[in-house]
Amino acid sequence: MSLTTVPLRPARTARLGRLVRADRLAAVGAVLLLLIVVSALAAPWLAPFPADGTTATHATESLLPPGGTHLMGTDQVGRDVFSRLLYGGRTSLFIAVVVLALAAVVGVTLGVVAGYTGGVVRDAIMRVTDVFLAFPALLLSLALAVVLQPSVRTAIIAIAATWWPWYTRLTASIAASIRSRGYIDAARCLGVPPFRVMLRHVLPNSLTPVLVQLSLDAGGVILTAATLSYLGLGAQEPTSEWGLMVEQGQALFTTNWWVVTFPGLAILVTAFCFNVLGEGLRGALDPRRGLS
Amino acid sequence: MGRYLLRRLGQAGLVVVGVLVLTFLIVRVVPGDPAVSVVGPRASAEQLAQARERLGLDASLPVQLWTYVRQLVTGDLGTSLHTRQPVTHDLGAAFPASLELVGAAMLLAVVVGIPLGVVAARYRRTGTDVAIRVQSMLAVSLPVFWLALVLQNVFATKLGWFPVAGEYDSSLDTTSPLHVYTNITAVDALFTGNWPIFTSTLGHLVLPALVIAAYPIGVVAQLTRASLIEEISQDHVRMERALGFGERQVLLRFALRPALNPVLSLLALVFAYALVNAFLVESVFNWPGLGRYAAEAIRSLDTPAIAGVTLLVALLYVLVNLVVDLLQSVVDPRISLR
Amino acid sequence: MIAGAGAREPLVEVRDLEVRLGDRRIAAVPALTLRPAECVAIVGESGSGKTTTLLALLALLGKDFRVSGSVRVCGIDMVAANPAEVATVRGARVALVMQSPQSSLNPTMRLGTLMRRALALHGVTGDEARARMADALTSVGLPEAIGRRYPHQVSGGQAQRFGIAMAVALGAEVIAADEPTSALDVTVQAGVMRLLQRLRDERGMGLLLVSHDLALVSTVADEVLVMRDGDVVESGPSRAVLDSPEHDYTRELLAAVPTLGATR
Repeated sequence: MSLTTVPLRPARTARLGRLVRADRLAAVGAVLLLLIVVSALAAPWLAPFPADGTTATHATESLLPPGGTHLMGTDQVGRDVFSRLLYGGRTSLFIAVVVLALAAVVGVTLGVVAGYTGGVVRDAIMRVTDVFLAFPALLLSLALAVVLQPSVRTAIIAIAATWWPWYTRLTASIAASIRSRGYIDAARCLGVPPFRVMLRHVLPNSLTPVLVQLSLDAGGVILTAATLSYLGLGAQEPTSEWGLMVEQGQALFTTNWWVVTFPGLAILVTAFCFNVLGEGLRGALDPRRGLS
Repeated sequence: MGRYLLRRLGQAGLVVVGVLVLTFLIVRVVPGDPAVSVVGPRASAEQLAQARERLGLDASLPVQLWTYVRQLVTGDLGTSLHTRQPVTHDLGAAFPASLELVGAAMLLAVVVGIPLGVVAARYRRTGTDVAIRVQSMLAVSLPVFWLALVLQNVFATKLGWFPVAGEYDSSLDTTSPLHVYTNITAVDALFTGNWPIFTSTLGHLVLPALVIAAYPIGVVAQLTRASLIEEISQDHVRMERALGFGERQVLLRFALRPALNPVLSLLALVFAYALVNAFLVESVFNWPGLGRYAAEAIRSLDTPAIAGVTLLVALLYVLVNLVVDLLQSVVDPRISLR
Repeated sequence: MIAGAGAREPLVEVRDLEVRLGDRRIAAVPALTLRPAECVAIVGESGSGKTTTLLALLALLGKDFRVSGSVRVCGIDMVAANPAEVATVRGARVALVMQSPQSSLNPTMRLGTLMRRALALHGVTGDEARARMADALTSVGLPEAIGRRYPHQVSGGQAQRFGIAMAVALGAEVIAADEPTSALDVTVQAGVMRLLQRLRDERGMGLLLVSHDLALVSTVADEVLVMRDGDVVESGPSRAVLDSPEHDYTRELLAAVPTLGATR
């Protein structure tokens, strides 16, 4: 068989294949996550009763058990649970993306400044970080959300406010270690302005750990958002949100189990997939840890 | 050791100051009209004006901060809008019950989590390891409030194995009254030999403590496993094997102790997590602790109460972190040199 | 304990040792013999398989390695023996001395505790243990008080001596040393090497030395094995190998050794 007739596998798919074989759990998580994201984005088309996802109510169809047209039953005001589940996915993912974007931007910026500048500026930033980290995250989110008007926007601000410190710590230590290496000083000797040095050297090196951290955090953000909604501090009626759905159904749990069970499972599965994916990414991208 | 202690205390002090400032900012500065959040949304214009004066809101911000701190130091955390009692009084009543619950949960986390992690490390790359890892990750992904509801529904309401709510059977108060010392029911009952209340409390503790411990068990097991696996690859383990020690001895007697170092600092985070998540669990199980108090405060938008709880928990967290850091320096002699 | 002066029974006898990892052959040693009061050195560069050979003596290679051949240590074949037999050889018959002395000691354990536990493992407790500890520490030139210290509180040289002291206390007949002096300062190196030599001469211990440092080896070894890429390219009495090497590689290694004040 000559070389021209043997098909050559592209190098990238070969690496991906190795990664998948190495951590099957992460691969499964990734696929499931893809399903969740796609179904959430396609909610208006996938949901059997799209109006139920937002404002519609049908008092006559209240609390129907799962089966027939209502795959997961209906809630107290007759809305299709499955449809609301899909729309709830949109809410959760939206919150997760915005929160993490905010946290990462603020956190990384502060971290790079702190790590690269050093001295008093660094100390000041790190102390502020310490103070924020001194609060258990959920507590801080709760306090903030109570004080501002409860809503999805409040939840986003409240959660982002507790999440940015981790990114600052992460990037500050990376930036500091890069700063201590010779080639930054060499660049400065050549007259390259510090700002460009930071952009060209510090940021790219921080990218991988930050990405890993983001994927690990996504699950936690979704859990926190659901918790805030459960306490009435996040999404409000009639928005579909998984935590809110659990809160609304809890009094009826014994008699109408489906109103609470399905949203809870949705939170569990989504957070699980993010966590598994994050762990898998960390294992694959951090050469030191290996594939244990 | 002494110098390390001083340095850590100094750091903790700075953080405490920061915590105070941050809490102050949240309560007084952030909302549109702080007077509203203190007096309540249904107050009249007159009451609002009075409150504003009382709060010294006409004064400058630094002065307000100073008043706030001064009040704190004298133990004045304001009055709860909901219970109409001083917040400090409410906290004092609710805290021991939370401590009891959190203590039970942490005990579970250590007693179940560490052995699970050790087993996972020992049998890594086998089915048992994968099972434990999956379980850990599931535990980490569980919404606590949902788990509480499910467990309560299944094991208490439907199966009747455990009581549905409360700290202990209150009818026992008449038949076998409890002498209060520490205000922690289980401890008091144990010390006074009050078995009916002790067993009742233990029974009531099972479900809520299990719910709170689910995530900590998962995280402790994961970290113990990872830490132990890393420790086993260290040079000194090769030396210990070369001395003739068997695998089990190497794992438990030589590798575990240095490996537990990061787990110990994790416990501080676990404590904070447990305390905060007690909020949700306590309201589901009607446990008379900080969580239930805070959940009600949140529902009625009782800002002084929420601020008080936030402050207390944050300060506790700083304290626990400090204690754990100091403990670490005892367990791992290398730490105190830094 | 130590064999009588009359018996020159080899302490270590290796025949046709082969170590494989997956498809790769890591080390192949056709023959190696270590007798009491002798020093055999294995020299080579990194990746030559010398450390692997040493670890095979103690059966310390991981599960992924496949070991074949015969490795007889004090009468026990380490390749075929069960874990219980292997455990009796480790520590009490063959002692390991590693390259980085401080990291080879448990960081959370006082030195004395480690030695006591090792002695207890091999059946020595109470007064006899205390006596052995004191004797061992004196023989390596360490104060008795060092038992109370932690590894990070002693110097590299002291840690290395302590490792050797454990070997003496346990009554080991063979010291298997993997680059014992590479991590130490030059002046400290000499002291440790002198100690090893003394133990060989006075206590009749066998010394198996793995090193990349030919100069070091030339001062102490009786026999030398030169390894490269897993194979033994040359072996024999050290004087013969070092003065008139037969293999090109050996000559290369020798030529690479810098000599002070030499002119060519």
